[in-house]
Amino acid sequence: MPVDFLSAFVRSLSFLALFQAGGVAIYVALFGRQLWSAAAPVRRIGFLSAVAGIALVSMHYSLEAARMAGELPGAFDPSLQRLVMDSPMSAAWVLRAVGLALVAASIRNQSKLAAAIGVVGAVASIQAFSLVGHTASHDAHAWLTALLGLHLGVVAFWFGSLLPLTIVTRRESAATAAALVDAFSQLALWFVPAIFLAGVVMIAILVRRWSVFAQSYGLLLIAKAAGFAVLMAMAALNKWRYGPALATTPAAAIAFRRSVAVEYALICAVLVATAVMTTFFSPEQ
Amino acid sequence: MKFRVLAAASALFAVAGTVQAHTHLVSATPADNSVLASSPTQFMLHFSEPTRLTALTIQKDGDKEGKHIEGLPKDPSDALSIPVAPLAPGRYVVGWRAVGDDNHLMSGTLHFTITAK
Repeated sequence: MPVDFLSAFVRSLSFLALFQAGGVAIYVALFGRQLWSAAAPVRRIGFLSAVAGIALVSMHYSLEAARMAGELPGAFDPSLQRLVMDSPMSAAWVLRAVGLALVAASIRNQSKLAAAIGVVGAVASIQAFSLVGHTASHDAHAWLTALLGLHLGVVAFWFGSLLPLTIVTRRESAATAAALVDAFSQLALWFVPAIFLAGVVMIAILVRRWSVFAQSYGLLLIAKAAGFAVLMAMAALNKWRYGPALATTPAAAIAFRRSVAVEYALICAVLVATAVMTTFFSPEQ
Repeated sequence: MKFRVLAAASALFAVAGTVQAHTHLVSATPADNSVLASSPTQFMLHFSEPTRLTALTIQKDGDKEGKHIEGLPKDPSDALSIPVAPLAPGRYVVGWRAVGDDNHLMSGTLHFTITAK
């Protein structure tokens, strides 16, 4: 099933771009006014990832007709294209593309209005996930939508902030970098556990029998949870060890960036696992 | 202040979605792994909800690739019937893809054998 693998690959990349763009929009809304030398490169990352995200979500959308046919030429089948267009996938695609376009259009502007528009764009692009898949089709859709929104919104904030934090430690003064890392950590301390809690409640709602954890979908869920546990450990390391040392120890910045790079790679792995999981498997399989 | 901004942004994520049922294949004719004395005249797929069949292929053991079966029903139904040209004896695998009312893309395979006369 090469077309399915291609779809999963493009979906994975679109996840990375979308969460990066949305996360930078949220980061800039929160901390943009405290950035000086790092402001331009941080906003550039937001812009580039938003533009890449628009291209990738559009590519993924165009592959859906091909997936229905089981082969690439199916992407050009008018009846299958109409089927996709009539499905919630088209609404999700539009919401994602518009959301990312709002991020791209606003991220380079330093006004409060632009920051608000960026956050709205981030929310829109992330909330599109609730329009498709098992969240949309479940009886408890309202709860799942809220939980999924919280789950993914905090993921975006966390993932999307890591590159800006790396840039901050390179471009800003040691004191400014330490203050920004500390400010981020204070918020993350309260919000990041919500990722796990929301995820657990969603699993409790979606998974109907324990035997699913012996199957592909369940094994990937366990892998995600394990990845999250490692991530929390790394985040704790950054908050309590490397972060506070940034203001006083030059070498701390290098250790911090190395730790953040590992965090970033792990979250990428979790996002890719999620893209694969939602492409090929379901809680019912 | 920042806590309130982030909390407000989190609250914005709580938006209601749409409700749809989940579809799955209930039964098929020929049944999976069945042995038939003669070629079937049609394939029948029974789903739990009205479903649109988007692709159907058939491949005989030993063939390099499968063939697409044309003339698929255009309208969704929970009982889909597809006429089949006579098949020679041998082992076959039928691949199907379908989209349910919940827009969930499903796929599966069915194996059957037609015994030589």
